[in-house]
Amino acid sequence: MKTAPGLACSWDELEPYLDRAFELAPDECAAWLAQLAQSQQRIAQDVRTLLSMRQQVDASGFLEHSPFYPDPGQPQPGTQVGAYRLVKLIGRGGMGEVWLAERSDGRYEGRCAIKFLDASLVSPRLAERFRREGQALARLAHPNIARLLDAGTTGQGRAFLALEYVDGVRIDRYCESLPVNERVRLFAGVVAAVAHAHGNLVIHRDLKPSNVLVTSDGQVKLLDFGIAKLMSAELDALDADHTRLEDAAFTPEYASPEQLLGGAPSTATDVYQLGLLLFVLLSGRNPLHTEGGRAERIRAALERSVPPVSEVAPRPLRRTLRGDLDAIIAMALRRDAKDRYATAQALQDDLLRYLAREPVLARRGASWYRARKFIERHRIAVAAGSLAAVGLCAALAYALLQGHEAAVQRDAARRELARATAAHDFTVFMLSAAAPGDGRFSTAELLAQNERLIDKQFAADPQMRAEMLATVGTQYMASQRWEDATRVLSRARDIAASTADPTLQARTECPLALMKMLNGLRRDAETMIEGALANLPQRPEHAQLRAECMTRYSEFGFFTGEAAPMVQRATIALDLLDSASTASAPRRIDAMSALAYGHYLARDNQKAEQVFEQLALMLEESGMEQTLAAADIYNNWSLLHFRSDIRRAEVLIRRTVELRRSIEGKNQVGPVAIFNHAGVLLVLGRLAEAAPLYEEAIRTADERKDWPTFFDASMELAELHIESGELARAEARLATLATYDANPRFDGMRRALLAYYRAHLVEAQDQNPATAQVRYGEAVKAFDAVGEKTFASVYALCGLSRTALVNGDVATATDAAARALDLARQFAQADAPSYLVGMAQLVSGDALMARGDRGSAVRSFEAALRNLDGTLGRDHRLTKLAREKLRA
Amino acid sequence: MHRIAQRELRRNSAATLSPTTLLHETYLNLSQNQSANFSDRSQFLGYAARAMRGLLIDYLRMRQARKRGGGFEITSLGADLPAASQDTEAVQIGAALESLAQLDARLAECVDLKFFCGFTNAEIAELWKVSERTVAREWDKARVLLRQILSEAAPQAAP
Repeated sequence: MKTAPGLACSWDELEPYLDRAFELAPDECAAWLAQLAQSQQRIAQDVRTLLSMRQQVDASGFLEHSPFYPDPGQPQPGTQVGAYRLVKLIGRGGMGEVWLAERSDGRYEGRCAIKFLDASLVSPRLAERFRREGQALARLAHPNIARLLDAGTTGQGRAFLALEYVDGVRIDRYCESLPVNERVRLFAGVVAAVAHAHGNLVIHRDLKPSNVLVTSDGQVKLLDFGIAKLMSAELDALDADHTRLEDAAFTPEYASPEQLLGGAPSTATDVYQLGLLLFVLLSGRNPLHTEGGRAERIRAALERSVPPVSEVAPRPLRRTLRGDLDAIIAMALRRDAKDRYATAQALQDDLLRYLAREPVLARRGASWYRARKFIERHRIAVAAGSLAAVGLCAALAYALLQGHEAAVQRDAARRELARATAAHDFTVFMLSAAAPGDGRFSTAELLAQNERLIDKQFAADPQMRAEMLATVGTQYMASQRWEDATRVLSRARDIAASTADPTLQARTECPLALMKMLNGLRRDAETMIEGALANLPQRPEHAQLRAECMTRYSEFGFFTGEAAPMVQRATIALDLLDSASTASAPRRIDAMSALAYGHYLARDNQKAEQVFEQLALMLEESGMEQTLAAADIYNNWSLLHFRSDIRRAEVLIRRTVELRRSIEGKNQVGPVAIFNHAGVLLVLGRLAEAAPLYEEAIRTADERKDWPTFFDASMELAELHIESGELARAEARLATLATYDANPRFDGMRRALLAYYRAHLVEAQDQNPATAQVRYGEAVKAFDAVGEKTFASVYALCGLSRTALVNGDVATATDAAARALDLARQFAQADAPSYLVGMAQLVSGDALMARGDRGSAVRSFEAALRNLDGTLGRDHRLTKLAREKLRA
Repeated sequence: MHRIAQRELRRNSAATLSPTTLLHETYLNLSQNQSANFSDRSQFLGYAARAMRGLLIDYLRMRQARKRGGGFEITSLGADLPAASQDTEAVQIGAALESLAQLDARLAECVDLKFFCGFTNAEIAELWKVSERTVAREWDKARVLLRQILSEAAPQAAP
């Protein structure tokens, strides 16, 4: 007989009575029970017991809530969420409810919109990441972007975003009655906001009319910036099967082809969506509107070509739209991201040109915006040991200059060969967990601590010890502490050699080989790494390690400058990682970094750019965007843009420096990175921002005895003073440098540079043009003597041409201009804009004018304008100069 | 099976197991028990739900052990996971369910499906091909009996 404990009757017997009891209302039940007790006493007793148990169950909510399936807890008006109190439901977005809320702590008046995510972020890691990314987005502050106020999770783990509440009309409705130019002007404001966000490396991903509102005072506000990504990342994390196409994170009607195909969005995606938005604003229709489902939409986006907006718009507007606006929209909507405007800023510039009735670049076709070219940092860079280009490319640039390998200078110079190599997962975790914002321990201290711990912990286990030391060694490498790295890796290797374990040996020998390469011991390095690779068994379980070794081997390219093997080895490494059963983001990132650099060396900037963009996304997705690896990647990425899109280079460098500061602590950032940043700002004409950076670089370089950087930064600071008209200070600074003549670091290249700066100073002082010309002539000769082609030569030649002209020496002016142009062209490539060429074209134009050849001069100025506009931007001094010359 | 495992995920299992893990483990459990011949769908369902229960409880037990200091762990257990007392409760319920299953397999299955697999009454009704009201009634009975079993069990240590 089956009985529940504490009960008299069997369950089979009891059940029907219990059913009855549960059905009855309480008073009925009491009566019925009393009656039952008369005939079935035992059963009635049990039923009573269970009824009282039922009361307990109801009162205590027993089993009501499964700990495995927490009830998300429907929000209600009055519910507290973070610092806000919900007021009323205002809508249902793609991913959850949207509520109006107000600040409840009385601190200030404020309404906001709270967006809930339709799932709970149970894992604290997810919740933390959500919060952190939310904080990053919250830093985006722009009057035309609806501010993200807060991101967090409720007590039940429900994710929410608190957004600035915007009371406005959808932009497409707002534009309905406006004249075309007003619409374009309004739209230009939208683009400016997007450009600003891009400048802060935030992509929107879901730009559409309903996300752009216009307030009653005519101000545009962009909603949901970057939120699409934030939300979708969490959804992705929760459901591994979540396919991108089902992603509610973007709206199919306004999605770009790459989004529909499941690819990663980029700034070009935003550009596309802006193009669609403009189309809608001008014509009232969405050109890709289809009645069909997703497949139809994808086909429309990919196969159908978008008709010109002038053909689709209402009749009265057609004439205005034809031509320039057609072209602008067409360019933004190109199917291939590479063919669109590269940046929102570029789109903005074209729109402003349209409004100013200037020729629109879109009509020239996509070739203008094709890939960036190989670049060495202008004038400063190529100056040898300054290795102004941080990232191993620096050593590279120097090595290239010298024309042979082992020319890399030791100590200070080498210390700046920044390169993040394999940061193994757990040490990245350890450092990133401990370091940012902490400030109490420097990276060096943490690493030293790790070393000590390892020795203690694994005293009895040599294998383990070797492994751990290898990891610490690579982490030292990541922090650019080469001596420490070599020391630790050698120890690790020695221990490993005593075990008979080829995998352990490989793990220690491969990074050590790279260090040997850095120290100039190429043959040793190659022997070691090839030996390690040969000894590794070919089995699939070793694929990952083999890939790591291949990546280290590929990184030799940073020192040799040989592009082909670098690309080849990196590709092999990536293939191996693909075949390995476990994905490892840090290893992929390393291999891809090497690949990107290889492409860059091979002068294939287009491919390099692609890889870098992928890298940036991978960094974010694996939570590594705040690491040293990321800093170096951004740094190397910036090099791609130095020569042409220097504004983009500036953003990337700034990111590098910020990352370094936050990871390494304020006082530990290498002077070269800061110097690089300052230099880019100088080229861009942002002198006020550049000056303090130069000063910092000089100070730090002095402390670290980094003479090359010290000199270069000092010289450029002098240049900055010249440009801001503070000639006395410039003179003073140049004078101090003269006292370093005795220093061996002060090589031919630097002497030539000093000569150039001196000449520039004399020119700026404007008292003795003859002397200026002579000085420039000397500088040019000095550069010629060094025998290497540098940006600085171009500057010197331009200066010579200018001053010669002032002195009436047209022959020299023409000669110098021609040489300048010739040299500048050698640095540029194909059709892409180059500010060096632009500069040379300016002086050429002047020389031609002086010879009376007005026609050629004008052509030269036009070409100059195109080049300068496309790189330095329309507001730069030089661009304006070019424009003036054309007007004259 | 996958559908059950999917549910785990969609409802954000506080047990924080990935669906793949759950799926594999449950499958493993099932396939190891080769004598199990599922004559019909409902039998299979009951079995699967039970297996799921077993898994979750095992996991919780492991977690409880860890919390009590079994070795160094990186702190990832935190605010969003059910409190320790709930773990204990869940584990005890598992034990009590065995007893309940002896009395009435259907009631035990109801708890498995609802509490351990997160199905709603409507969904269970569909699975069992009965009305929702029936499910609600079964649930009531199951809870009451379980509570009865638990209260008669040895006195528990304070959580």
